[in-house]
Formats: sequence, structure tokens, C-alpha cells
Amino acid sequence: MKQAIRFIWLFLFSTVVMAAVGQTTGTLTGTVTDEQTGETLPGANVVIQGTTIGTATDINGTYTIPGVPAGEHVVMASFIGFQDVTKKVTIVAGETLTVGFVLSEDMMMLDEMVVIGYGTKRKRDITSSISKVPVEEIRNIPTTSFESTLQGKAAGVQVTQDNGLAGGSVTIRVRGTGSVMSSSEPLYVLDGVPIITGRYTTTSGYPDRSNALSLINPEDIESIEILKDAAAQAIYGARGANGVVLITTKKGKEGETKYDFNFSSGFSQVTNKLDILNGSEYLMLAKEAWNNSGEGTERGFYEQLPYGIYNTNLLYEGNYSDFTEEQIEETYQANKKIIDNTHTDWVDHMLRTGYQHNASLSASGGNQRLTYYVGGSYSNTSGVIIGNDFERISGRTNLEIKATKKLKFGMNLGVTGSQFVNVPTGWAGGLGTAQSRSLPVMPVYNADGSYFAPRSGVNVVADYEDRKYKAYSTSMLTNIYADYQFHPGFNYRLDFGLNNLYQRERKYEGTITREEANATDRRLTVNNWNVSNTLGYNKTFNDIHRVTAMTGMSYERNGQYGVEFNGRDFPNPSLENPTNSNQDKQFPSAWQEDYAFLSFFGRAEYAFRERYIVSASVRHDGSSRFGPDQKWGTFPSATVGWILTEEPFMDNISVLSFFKLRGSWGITGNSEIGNYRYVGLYYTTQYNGESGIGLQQIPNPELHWEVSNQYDIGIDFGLWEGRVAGGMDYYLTQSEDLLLLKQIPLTTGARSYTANLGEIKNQGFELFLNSKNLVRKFKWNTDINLATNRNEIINLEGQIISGLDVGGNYGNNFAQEGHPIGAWRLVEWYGVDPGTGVDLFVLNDGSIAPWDDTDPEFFDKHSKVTGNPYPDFFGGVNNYLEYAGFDLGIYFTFVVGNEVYRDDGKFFEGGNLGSNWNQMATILDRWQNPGDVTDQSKLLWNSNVSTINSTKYLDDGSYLRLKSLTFGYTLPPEKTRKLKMERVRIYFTASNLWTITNYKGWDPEVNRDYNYASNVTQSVTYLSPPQAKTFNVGLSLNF
Amino acid sequence: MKFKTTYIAALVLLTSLLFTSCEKWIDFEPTTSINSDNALTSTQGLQTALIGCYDRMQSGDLFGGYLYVSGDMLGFNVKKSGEYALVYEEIQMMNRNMSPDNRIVNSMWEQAFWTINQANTILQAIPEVKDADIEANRDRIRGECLFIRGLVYFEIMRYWGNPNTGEAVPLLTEPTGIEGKPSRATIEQVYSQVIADLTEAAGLLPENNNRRATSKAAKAILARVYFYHKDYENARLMASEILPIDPSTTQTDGLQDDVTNIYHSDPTDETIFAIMGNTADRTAGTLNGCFRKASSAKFSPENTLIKAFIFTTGHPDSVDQRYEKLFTSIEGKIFTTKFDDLDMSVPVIRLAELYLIRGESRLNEGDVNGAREDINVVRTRAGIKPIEGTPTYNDFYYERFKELFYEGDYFHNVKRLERTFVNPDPNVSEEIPWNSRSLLFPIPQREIDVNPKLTQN
Repeated sequence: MKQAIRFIWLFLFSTVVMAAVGQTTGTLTGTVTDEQTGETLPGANVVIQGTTIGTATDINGTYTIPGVPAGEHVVMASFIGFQDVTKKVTIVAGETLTVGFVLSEDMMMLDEMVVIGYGTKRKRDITSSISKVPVEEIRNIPTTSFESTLQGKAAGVQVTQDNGLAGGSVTIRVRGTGSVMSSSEPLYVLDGVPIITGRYTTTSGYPDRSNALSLINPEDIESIEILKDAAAQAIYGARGANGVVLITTKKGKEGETKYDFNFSSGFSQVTNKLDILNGSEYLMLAKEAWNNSGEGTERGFYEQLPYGIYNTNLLYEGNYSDFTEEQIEETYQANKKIIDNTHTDWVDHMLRTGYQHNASLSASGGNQRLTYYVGGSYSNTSGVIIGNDFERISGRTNLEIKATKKLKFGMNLGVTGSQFVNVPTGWAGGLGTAQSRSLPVMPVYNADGSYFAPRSGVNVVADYEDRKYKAYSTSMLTNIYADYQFHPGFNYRLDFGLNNLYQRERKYEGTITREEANATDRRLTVNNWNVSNTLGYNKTFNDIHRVTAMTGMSYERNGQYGVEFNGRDFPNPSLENPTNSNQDKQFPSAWQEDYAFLSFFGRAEYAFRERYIVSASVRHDGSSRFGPDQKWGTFPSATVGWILTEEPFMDNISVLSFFKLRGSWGITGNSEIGNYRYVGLYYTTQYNGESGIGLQQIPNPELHWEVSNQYDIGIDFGLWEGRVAGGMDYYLTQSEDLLLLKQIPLTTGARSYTANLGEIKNQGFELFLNSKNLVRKFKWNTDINLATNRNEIINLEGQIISGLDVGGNYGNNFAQEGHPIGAWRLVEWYGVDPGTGVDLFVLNDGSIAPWDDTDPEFFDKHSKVTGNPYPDFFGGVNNYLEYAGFDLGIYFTFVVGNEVYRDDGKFFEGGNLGSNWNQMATILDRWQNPGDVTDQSKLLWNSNVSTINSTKYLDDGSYLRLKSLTFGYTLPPEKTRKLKMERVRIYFTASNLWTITNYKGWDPEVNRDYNYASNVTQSVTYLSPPQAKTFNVGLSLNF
Repeated sequence: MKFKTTYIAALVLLTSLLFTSCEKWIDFEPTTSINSDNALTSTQGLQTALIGCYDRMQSGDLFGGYLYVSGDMLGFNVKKSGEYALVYEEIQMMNRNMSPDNRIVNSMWEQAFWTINQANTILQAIPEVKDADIEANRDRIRGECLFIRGLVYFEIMRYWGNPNTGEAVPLLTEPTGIEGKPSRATIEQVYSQVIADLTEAAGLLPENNNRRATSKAAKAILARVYFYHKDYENARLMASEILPIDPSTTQTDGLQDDVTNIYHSDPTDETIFAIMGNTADRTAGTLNGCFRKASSAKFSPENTLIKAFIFTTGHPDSVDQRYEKLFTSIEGKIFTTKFDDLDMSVPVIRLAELYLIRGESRLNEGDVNGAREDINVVRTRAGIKPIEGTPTYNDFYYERFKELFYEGDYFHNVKRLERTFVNPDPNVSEEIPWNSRSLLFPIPQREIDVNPKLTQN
């Protein structure tokens, strides 16, 4: 405070003195322009060095600094993305001097600050592997959750949208999957605070879940950095093993208040419609199968149609078996006529044209003491699957107060409310059922207007109408900090973060589709708070030795508390709250879980002549998830960097403007398993009104951290003053002591227990290139990134772990030594025998034979591990063109060389017509006569095909997708000025516009399973809903 | 310099404060489960763990459903109704080509061994408990554990026991610990253990036990075990210990006049032991889903069952109430109504079965009159004509078939009699011998994967 008073006093005094002395100052004015385009640069800073005098250019790019003391000065002009320019000027008292600055673009952006764990760093000094995501490029892509737009934007970061549900979840893998059972999702840190992520909606019947990250407004994000190697992650030690995504929200800058308004609106459709049999095709093929299997007469076929499609009492009442032959024949003819003329497209009933609207407005600015950013947004998305909606309203206030020159404090606060209307998909119903079990020969309605077979589970229209589900979420994400520079070079920072998620799910299912209506009200609170203290030191000695050091501690605590109330049987259909249900049929439950991490960490860096950079960090972490003697883990890292272009001997190579060689090593930890896994547990239950307990979990006091050893070597380079810039990385990650379920015989009373065993290796190569092809009036930039990753399980102590073992669904993925995690165990399909029309398989001895039903071990004998759910390489190519105010962004993503297993194929394309599943239209090519060469076998009424897991349904999942196309127009500055605006842009964006793939299902971008099982069960579809393609127009205004 | 020192001192102090108590900051105990260290250290702990065993027997993969329905799927006793789709593990059973990863087979194994292990864990823990309540409860708790173990072993042995090799399932009488990798015991070893368990249980259990295992229940199951072990003398003796009367007298036979009374939440006196169900705990959920029309029944009765009622009633005028009351015709299709009560308790053993056990045992022993008296008790209640001459084995076969349909008896009875399963589809000629491998439950593949001592069936 004393400092502040002294400062203010000094300021006032000098003003007074200067006024009193009279004309001892002059005025400096001029224009700042862009060298490449010749256009003026509004918002550039012009500062007289060594003083606090300075200003920013106005909307016309001109500046005026009055009151400059007479004499010689050095004036510096700077602008983000441009290289600084300094000029010497001589001010004469009472006169005005005009000095113009021409800035050239800083193509390498080497001085750009990059956010790292607990701090920031100049890009040129970074010696670990960090991807900075070009946030500007993804800003206008309509999405309900920001992380989905990261796809193809950072080398080595694989992003898969799980499905096309609005508000649905996204799977992200940074440098492959390093774990079998514990989570492989990265850690997300927003403004320094680890935030709540994950999928919290769990109401049964809705397997696709909400996404906590969709509660972050993408418009508020200033930058996203992804820490990819252990050296970068190690400072988050315990939490960093799967990569860290650092999100920084927008902050205010000194100057006038700036407003930013954005509005966009558009519609969406499914990327692809699957070709399935229509009514007459279905009847034709089903009859063929009926005849092929010798099941009986054609009348018999119609009579057996399920769900009461064949109405025995259509003409006559009474017991069918008591009918006369004439009555039976008449009934048959009448039924046949109706059935032959029924063609219901169930999928069409489940799809629609979606729409999305987004609007956001923010104000930012500040003065020397206070800077602020205040923003609000509203977004409303209606998905392509009927009933699926997502609505979000959010607000954010970021403030920073400079109390004194040395002390600043601030607060970042974001509050979001959302409403997510989920729909069952896949095996759970809805669109999944519409494709498969809803037969095209079933009508939607009976003649009297009531639903046809509403309780069969296959009338998806009745199901949709009879069901209500909504998840309401409110989240608060705040952090408060103070930063005190208590001595030159030293600063102390205190951060306190709080992230709350309150979620309420309501479900009601009525009596049209079930006997008793049922309702659920489920409430969940997640509290995540975090406190950290850090002490930083930064000093350069003799202009040669730069030393940076940091040490600190953090404590993070997470609590989850929930209650759920279920009720059945309501006295009146207007009541939908479970408390109104029959009191004997009400089931409340509640749960609570906590975890915490306590960590101590430090980091030091030394740079010599900004040429050689070495750094090291260490973190000591304690986790509540491990037993008393195993809680603590220590995670060190070290890096070296050599900027060759700083060496005198490199001066002659003028083409190479920047070249950095870097290497890193580090160890990170993973404890992303459930809580209390080391304790032996009994659950509580009841039987016939008496309380009971049962064995739930076998103890393992030895349970400890899963660790990853990571090595990375890389280069960063710039050619021709940065016209072409890029980098390459090679990495090797060895994860050991994997946290996984050790499978034990069920005769022990348990299936498994959590143990540390096994080893997984990921290694890969990453390349990213940025080329500024044209830089003058016509600008053209190309960004390319490409990555490979090889995943191999080195050791699992002989265990073979299936998706089922780790709580996933079917899919026949396994984790097995010597293979990538999630490879399939399948029998190799050879083809269809042209002579008999049956499927042939390659046996373990190499011979070819049909499936042998009589051998229960046929699958185990002849299956082998095959396929790879991971691509050979993946990445993105972005082209950005700009001319005379028009801009065009064309952005492709690609995934090459992975396989996708269509787990639904055996039911959906197997030609087993007696199963009452509709089939893909591909079976129209079925084998019919000896000599037919086809890959679709002879149709059968009751075949064993549903038990066959073979490579027949393993598809190449490669694709090239036009992920987004943006076309915009920015009004020229003279017009903008007339409108009193700073910038006016209108744009059109389309996403998922076009895809090339050989994949036979809906969409090759699939990820059926979620949570822990997704490490093993991946790249599998089971009637999974497709992605959406969107078309949007938007307007953005800055003023 | 001075202020800097002060600050650093303060920070160091702050940090060291954290160190002193940090272990507490990261130490949480679960609040919604019980730590296994103290789960079974009191009488209350033993008692609640015992209740947990009954709770597990309710599972849809045991008495709640598939323990009964699997045999009917394998043995041509049900057909697809077309009301609701079958899942593929059911389709495998209907086609008699169960793979070693069949989910029903795997889950039944898991639920059965979970229950057996918990019973064994309690048995092992009983001597350690020394609190005030243990004296009054020790024998009963031990008896119930033995009853549960005996019953579950008997039931799973019937599905996995391979008559061609004599091998059954691993026989465990104490917890194996997580390293335990037992091999399969023989059918005979399992039988002797089951008989020993149930015999001891019968001596320890009380007369009444809040709808849980009683001495009578243990004896009744024991009668069934002897009967299936073809030890007809002991089967008869054991059944006679329970059957309320000698049917030659005019005393009440203990059976319900109306058969539909049996299949409700509150078991009648005819039911000796049932797995309890009620509104809150719908034990019969899987059975409802399989058979109940209003629950979109997956299955409808196969024609052979319908024909058994129509052609074997004895004379044309009699009306079999088991057919009249336990079947219904809806929209021209026949469904059973046996499992129509959503809240019903699932009968495990009833007096009617004991009459049939004793009757057939007597027939085996040459006591024709006794056999006739017993079978006629069941026939009379059903409302059909009593047998007048010498009852045949076929009479007993059909009576069991009709009396106990979908109650988990038919499939095993055909195997006991070493008869042949015949596909009733007139278009298909398929006969499957009683000991066919296709009728045996495979040992779950994941179990063989983790326990090399197990051999596939």
C-alpha cells in the first residue's frame, strides 16, 4: 500500500511539476502499417522506452502521444504477431513530430507466450513437446463442445466424436492409449485449475452420456495448449500421463472497452444414410430364407410374423385353431394384402433436420489498475436424431486488479446452465432399433389410430412419444489468485479454484409402451476444489545466464454426492414425479465418493546465451486412491534444448532462420481408476425385507501408481524468415505397473481385483508444418499435421482381457500380449462357397471349412488376434486463403489404416432372417444358385450366424473427411469505420461436409463404448448413431 | 532483506504445516460400503451375509429365471413367441449350440460360485465370532449356509455334470482365496457333499425361519437329490418325513385346491421353500419376461406341452385345472399364466413334487398301490381322473411334466429317465439323446483361461 501511495504521489507530483514548468514537452504522432499488405494496423502499441508514456493506435492505425519530454528517445511499436520495431526520435518542446512505423509479420512467432504447467514460456525456449492449438481456426465451427474441434489440429492428438448426438461425448487420445483399464483421457486444466470432465448422466436406458466439457463456452477460450511429452506433463505428475489440455480464457487488455458480438445459425443432417431393406425387399428375402430352410408354406411364413403383424382375428373372432379351412384362407389372404402393402421407413421416423443457433456478446478492456473480460452466450442445438436437444447459457467474468506494481490479484468466474435431452441409441433403442428390429412390414399405427404393438419394444415411434428425459446441469468454474512480486526476480502466487457441477436428470416412461409408468429423478453434485502455492524465481545474469525456477504445492479434492429416486405405477398419467408413484414401488438410493491429491513440485531451467537450455522438474504426489503404504509417487523429468541458429557458425546459412534441437525424458503417473479400489468391500442389499451384505471387492493393499516412462526427441525449425516453419517429434512411452483388473477364477467368489501388472508401449512420429505460401494482398497459408502411433502390449502376465472383463459391452476386442490394445479375436472369414452358398472360414491349420456348430470350442480353436483399432497415421490439412476481405478455410482430416468392427453385422447383415431383424441392403447380393460368386451367403431362416464373430464384419475404417469449410467476408476498413465498427465479418461454415471411405456402416468415425472400457472396446459399432453434418451462417462484429 | 526473510519463513512454516497432517488429507474411507475387515466379525455380520446369499439366489441367472428356463430352451419345451426378440445367448440355447462365452452360462456359473463362496466364507467365520448373540444363532446360521451350498451345488451339477465323463464342477467347502485354482470334482463327489450338507442342515435348521430355509426345506430338497441320484429308497423315506398324511386316509393332502394360489408373493403351505418376491424385489422378473404375455413374453409353450394336457387327461370330460387356469389364449396364441404375478415368489420345491417323488420311488420299489395313491393326490387336485390300475413310468413322466412345467424340472427329468429329446417341429426330424454333449453347459471360457486345471465339457 505504501508503494501504491508513493507511486500515485509521484505521478501527481510529476504532472503538476510538468504543468508548472510549462512547454518542456512535445507531441509524437504517426501511423503504424503492415509491411506485407500496406494496410494500417489499429490497436498497435507505441511506447517510449524507459518511460510509462505510450498509447495504442486508433481505428485508422494512427497514434498521438502528447507530453513527451523534449530530448532523445527510443520509441518502440509492437503488435501481436509482428516483429517489434524501434526508432530513435528527438522531441523538440512544443512541436509535433510525425514518425511512422512499418511492421513486418513475425512468421515464426518465437516470442509468443505459450502456457505451460504453472506458468508461461516463450515459444523459442520450449524444450518439451507442446502443441498450441490455433484457436482462431476453430472458432466458427459449430459444436456443442470445444474439444471436438481439436480434431486434426494438433499432431498426435486423436479426437473422435463418439456419435452425432448434440451434447454427446468425445474421446481424446494424446499419443495413443497407455492404459488398459484406467482412464486414458487427458487432464483438462482451465486457467490453472483442473476441471471436472467426464460423462455424468447415468440414467439407465441412455448409454450415450452427457459431456461435462460441453459446459464450457467455446467463445470464452483464448488459447488451448496440449502438453504431449512427459517433460511437459510431469509438472502435473500424478495426473499428466494421458496428456494435459491447458485452456486459457480471454482476459481484458488495457484500453477502451471492446465489444465482440457473434451470431450464427444453421441446420444439420446425418452424414450418411444406411441402405437397409424396404418392405417388399424384406418380404422377398425372408420368404426365400423360409423356403431355403424348408420351414413350410408361404401361409406359414406370414402366420409366424412377430409382434402380431399377422392378425388372426382380422376377419373372424375366436381361437385361430378353431377356424375352418375357409376362414383361415380368407384371413390369410386379407393379412397378406395388408402386409404386402406396408412399407414403413422406421429410420426416417427417427431422423430429422437439426438446427443450431449461437449468440455471444462480450466486453473487455481496462486501465492500468483493472482489466476485465465479461461475456455471455446462448446456444441451442437440436440434433439430427429426433428428440435430442442441447441448450446452454453461460456467462463469464475475468478480472485482474493490479493493486500495486508488485501485487496483483484476480478472479476468473464462469457460470453455465445447460439442458440436455438425450435419446436412447444403439442397442438401447430409438434409432438403433429403427434400423434393425423395427421391421419395414410393421405399420406405425393400427387402423384405429392407436400405436401398433406399442409394448413390443420395436415400435420406436411409440417409444419416442412415451418417453421424456432431460438432464439439467449447472456448473460454476472459478479461480481466485494473488500474485506478489516480493523481491526482484521472485514472485509468490496463490491460486484457489472451485469447480462445481450440479446435475439433475429426470426421466419418465409412460404406459403406452409399458404396464407401469416409471420415473427417475437423479441428482448429482460434484465439488472439485484446488489450492496451490507457488514460488517463482526468474533472473538473467550478465545477459548470458538466465535462470528460472519454481516450486510449490497443490491440493485437489473432489467429492461426488448423489441421490436417485425411482418410482413406478402412477395414479394418473399427468403425474411424472417419482414421489407421486405407488409408495410400495419407490426406490431411493444415495451415494458418496471422495478423492484427493496432495502434491509438491519444483522446476528449474537454465539457459546459456539463449542457446543452450536445460531444465528439470520433479513432482511428489499423494493420492487417496491407494492404500496407506502406497499413496506416494515421485515423478521427475529433464529436458535439453539447443538453438543452433544462435550459434555464430550458423550465421552463413541464411535460409535457416531458426533451428532448435530438443530432447526430453520424464516419468508420469496415472491413478485414474475408481476410488477405494485397494480396500476389501461388502455392499448392502436386502432380501424379503431383511438387510443383507455381499462381497463386492477383494482388497489389494499393494495397489500403487501406474507409471509411464516417456522419451521424446524433436526439432523445431523455420526457413526463409519463417515462411515455412514446423517441427518433428519421435517419442517412446512405456507404461508399466498398469492398473488393471487381474482376472481370477469365479470360484473365488469374485471375477477380478484391481492390481498393478503389465506393460504397454506406444511409440510414434509426429510432423507439423506451416507454410505461408502467399503473404501479400493474396494470402495463402497451409498447415499440415501428421502423426503415427504404434501401440503394443508388451506384458500382461499372460492375461487376455476382453472388453467385457473391464465392464464394457460386446465387440470382441481384447487386450493381449504382442498386440495393440483392443485388437480383435475373430475367425478369419474366407468367403462364400459358390457351390453351397455357406460362409467359409480359415481354420487354424490353414484349411478352409464352414463353421462347425457341433464343436463348442470352434471359435476358441480357430480364432486369432487380428486387426488394429489404431490408424497407421492420422492428421489434418488446413488451407486458409484471404483476398480483398474474403477468406476461405478448407480443412480436411484423415485417418488411415485402422479397422472398425461392426458388431451388429452378424445380426444385421448375416442373412439370418428368422431372427426378426431387418437387414442391410447388401444382402440383396446373396447367394442363390450353385455357381454364384458373392460375399453374401445363402439366406437361412434359423442359422447360427448370430454366434459367429469373424472378419466378415471387420471393415477398413480409413477415411478422408472435409471436416470444415469456412467462407467469410470482412468489410473493408473504410466501410467499417462508417458503421463505427472495428471489424465486421459475415461467414458461412459447413462441417463434416464430405467423406471418402470404404466403411460399410453409417460413419467410420465411431467409438461405441465409453469410460474405462473404451481402452479395450473401441472402434466398434453396434447400431451406433451417425455424425451430423452442419451448415451455418454467421456474423461477427467487433466494436 | 528483512521482509523477504519474513515472507519466506512464513511460507516455509505454511508448507511444513501441510506436511504434518498431509496423510489425513488424502485418506478417505468408503461411506456407502462396508470394509471387509469387519464385515463378518459379529453375529449381525454373519446374519446379513447369509441374507446376501438368498439375495444372490434371486438373480435372474439362478432361481429368478434362467436356472429354470435354460432347460426348457435346450429341451424343446418353449418356442419363440414373436412378441419380443430373443437375445443371442438364448438363440444359442434354442439351437443347442452354446458357445463357451454364452452369457447365460457364464452368469449362472458366476452367481452360483459367488453364493457358494459367501456361504463358505460364513461357515469359516462362524467359529471366530464370540459375541453375545452367537449362541442362539450359531446352529441356524450354519444350517442355512449348508442348505444354500447343497441346493446350489445340486442345481449347477445338473447342468454342468457330464454323464459321459463323470465330471461335474469344482467342489469347494471352504473359501479358496484369490490364488485358488480348483479342478472339477466328479458327479458322485458332488452328490455325496450335497447329501452331507443337506442332511446336516436338516438337523440344524428350525421348523420356522421367516420364509428362509427350514428343516423341512432341507429334507424336501434332500428327497429330490436322492430321487435324482436314483436312490429311490432314501427318496421315499425322506419324502415321507414331510408329506403331511398318508393319502390312503381321508386327511387333507396339503395341496391347494386352486393351483393358481401357488404362484403369488405369499407362498401357500404347499410350497415348502421358495425364493421370495415382492413389489420391491421382483424376483421373478426374468420369468415374467420369458412367459408373461403382458410383459411381451419371449416364449410360448411348445405344442408337446399343450398336447400333454389335451391327450393325457384320462378321459374326455375331465378338465385339468392346470391347463384351464395356467394357460390363456390371446389373439389366437397360447401363453402360460403361471408367471403372471410380477411380485410372485418363485417356488423351489412344493408338496406336489414330493408326492410325485415318493410315488415314482414306490413304483421303483414295487409298491404299486402306494405309487397310485401318490400320483392320484396330484391328479385329483388337478381335477383329472385318478388312475385305477397300475400307474406306469409314463404316467409319472407326464404328471411331472404337467405339474412342474417351467419350474425347472422337465429337462433334468428327461435326462434322469435317459429319454430322448425330440424336436416337435414336424418339418424337422431331430432326436437328441439325453447325454448329448450339445445339452451340457460349457465351462465358461474365461474360467478355463484363468484356471488351467479346468477342462472343457
